[in-house]
Amino acid sequence: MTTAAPGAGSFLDPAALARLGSLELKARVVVEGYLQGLHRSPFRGLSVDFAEYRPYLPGDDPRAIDWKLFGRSDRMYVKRFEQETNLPCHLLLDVSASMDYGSAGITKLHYATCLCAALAWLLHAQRDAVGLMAFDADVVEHVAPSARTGHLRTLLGALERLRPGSRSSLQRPLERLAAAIRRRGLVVVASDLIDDPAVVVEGLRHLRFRGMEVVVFHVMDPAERSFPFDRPVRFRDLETGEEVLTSPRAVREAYLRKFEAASATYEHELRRHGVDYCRMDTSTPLEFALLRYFSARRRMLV
Amino acid sequence: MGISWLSPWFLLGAAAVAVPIVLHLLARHTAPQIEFPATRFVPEAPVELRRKRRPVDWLLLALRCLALVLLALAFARPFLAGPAATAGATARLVAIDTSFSMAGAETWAAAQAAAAAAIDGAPSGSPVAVAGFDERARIVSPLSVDRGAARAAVAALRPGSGATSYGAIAAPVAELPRGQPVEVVLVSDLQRTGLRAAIALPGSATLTVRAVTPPKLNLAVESLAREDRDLVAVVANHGLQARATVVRLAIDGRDVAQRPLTLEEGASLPVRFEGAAADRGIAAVRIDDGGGLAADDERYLVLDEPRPTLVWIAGDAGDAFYVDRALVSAQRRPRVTTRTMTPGELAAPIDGITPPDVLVLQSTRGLGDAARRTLRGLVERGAGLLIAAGPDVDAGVLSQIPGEGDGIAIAQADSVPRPAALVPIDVRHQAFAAYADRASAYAGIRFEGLVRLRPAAGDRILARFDNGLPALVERSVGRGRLLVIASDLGARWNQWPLSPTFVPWLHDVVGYLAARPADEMSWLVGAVPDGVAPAPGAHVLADGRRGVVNVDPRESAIDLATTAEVEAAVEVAPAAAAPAAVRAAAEEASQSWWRYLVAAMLAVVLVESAVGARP
Repeated sequence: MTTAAPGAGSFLDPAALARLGSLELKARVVVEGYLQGLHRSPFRGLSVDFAEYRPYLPGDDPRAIDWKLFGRSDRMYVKRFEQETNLPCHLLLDVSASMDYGSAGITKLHYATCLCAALAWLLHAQRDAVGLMAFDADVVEHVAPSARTGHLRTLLGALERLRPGSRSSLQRPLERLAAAIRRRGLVVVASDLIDDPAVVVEGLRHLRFRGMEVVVFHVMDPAERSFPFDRPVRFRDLETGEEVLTSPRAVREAYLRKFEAASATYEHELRRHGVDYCRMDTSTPLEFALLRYFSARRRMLV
Repeated sequence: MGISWLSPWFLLGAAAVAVPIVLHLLARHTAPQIEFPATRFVPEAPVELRRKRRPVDWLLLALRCLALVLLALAFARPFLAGPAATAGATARLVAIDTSFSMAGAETWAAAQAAAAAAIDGAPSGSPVAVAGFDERARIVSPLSVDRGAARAAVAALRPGSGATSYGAIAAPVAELPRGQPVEVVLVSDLQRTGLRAAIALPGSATLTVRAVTPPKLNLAVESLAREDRDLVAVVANHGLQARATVVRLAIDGRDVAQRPLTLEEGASLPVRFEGAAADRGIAAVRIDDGGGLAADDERYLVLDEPRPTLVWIAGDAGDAFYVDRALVSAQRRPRVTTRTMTPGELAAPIDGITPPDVLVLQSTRGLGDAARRTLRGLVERGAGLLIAAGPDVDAGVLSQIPGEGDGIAIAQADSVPRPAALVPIDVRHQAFAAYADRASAYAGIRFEGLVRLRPAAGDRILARFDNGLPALVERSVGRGRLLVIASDLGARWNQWPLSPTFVPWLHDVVGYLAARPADEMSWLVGAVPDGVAPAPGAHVLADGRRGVVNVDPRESAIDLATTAEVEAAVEVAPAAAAPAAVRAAAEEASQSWWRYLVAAMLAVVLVESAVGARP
């Protein structure tokens, strides 16, 4: 599969994307916009390719039994398809209060939700199983991975119902995910990573240890990266409520230094443990996230 | 010449500029609160929060102050007063005759066309106003360079029911700015009857006449009157050929009679409807007049019994007898109702009861201060007072009746024993109307007793005795009238109540003192009282009585003046023809500077919004 990156100028601005209708439409616009920029269509070979019959064994899904063949041979066989060899993907979406911030026409939560929706739409089109785990301090929404018809609608519905929560903590969701994983797969994390870096890195390292491919989308707002404030401001933390009265002109350099240091820490530590780390500014077209996903998937299939 | 202000007190509003300045000075700098997700990375830094001593944003402050000043100036309505304000631009006032003689379709179309041509023909840049006039003028399109508005006003104008009076156009001219050169274009059918008053125009005005042709045929009902039980209408033919018509009479909308009528050119004939005068109702006479003016083809008359005249008679019962019988026995319109009382009863409160139209005072016995105050109040509010200075009238009390201490005592009574006869001085006075052509009828009455009246300056002697003493004196008091006769009316000093002249004389005197016209419920369109619409037809007044409005019959005549005659009627009016406030309003309206000030204020507000939105 070729993943030549289209030019950024042909992608849809996230702020414009935010004004579109349903989440399904947004996901479809992102994915098809991305695919139009590829030289070769990724849909080639993604059809439901029949592989073989095998005798039915207890535990198999009865819906997979070929009843016509049963009628002819009086034996129960189940059909095996090509996509069943694909790997499940777990989407971890941070819905903490800090994600409910946006200075560029779209909040981080909305941006991350669109990102997850686009990935889900793409995964479902490829017949990959895809699941969702939304969290703040705990898991607030969990949809088990599946590639079945209709699952995409279930997942998109769950995404649309999500609302900003409380403080974020990746520790518990990562522990639950690690306990639930049965097969090798892909874990995609979309979060602003306003958390204890050590805890986050340790949790993701544990997933890597379990054989999972992990992609982290570090979602941040342009204002967080540039700190464009001028006059004296009383900042109030979205998660803790903590207030800081300061003069932005005086502290800008210090802020940017600390913010960059935290991001750099994540990048360095995660990559050191084989986690694919990607900074996603909410002004960055979502198609770039798909690009990172395909890179990770390709590594998995190698 | 100079800047003037129509509403200068609004300039005080400019003091509001102090508000943004004070707010700037008093405002504390407060740090806005921003919710931010990465607050954990934001270091604290000391921030100085202090009261501002000087405005920070001078541009914003200046813009806000400027907006307030412009608003105050706009509300104060500035204008350039004086001749220079409109120098070089001769205004044109197009005055269109809207009397009912213009109502012919061709006549009115020609008038509108002439008016439109006058508007379009005004020099470029000259302001134009449009006025309609009959007995009164009203501006229908104020002075403006907007020709479209003037043409629209002409198109919307319609002839009414009034009569032409060319003098009326002086009023809209006087409302134009003082010294404004103005050309008045008069569009009319040039009815000669409209020349009854001069056209008083200022020296800066000129008059140009545009004549239109009225209809050549016209029949008109010129009058409708009651004569005992008959109704008599007078129909006139103002056209240039003999006409035949049918005269129809309707009472309260129901046709009751009709008469054919043929009239020679210029003739007028009475049409009598015998026995048609009902006791009540509205009579209407209509004629057929194809091709003539419609407004004068109908005339109305009220047949309702007029409100009776109420007379209070204050005196002893014996004296009051003759007066009371004389008033209530005669069959005259309006009827008279009487109330006899002692003079002392006048002291009782009269609030809530119908006040009298006339008081007849025959005695001053018991006439205290309160009664005299009542008497004076009634007369000042319009009632008539007849004093019969007989033997029961005290000279001292009589001198105080019109008012104590105000120097208007009118009579002093002295006994004059010698017999005398009454001689009217002014036989045309309404008090002697019944025997105006036979004044000698009073000569046979012998007045054995009488008093000497000493009229004051301004009093009017209506009759004397043949010995030279005043017999009947009249004076105006407030809105009422006072008559004093120097003898009694109770047949004690004379035998006049037994004379045939007494009843007619007394009715004429009461009618005169009541100050009520014989037909008080009929008006012309141009002279209706308050509360009555100036439209021909029957009208119900607020008190439930019915009245009628008719057109002025003079307007029916097709007697045309020449253009030169109308132009010759122009007189130069005094300079200050219109009140200063009216002139100022007209000057301000013609300049309308306030519009530009409001536009400038809005522009400043927009700039202020843009400046205020700076990061």
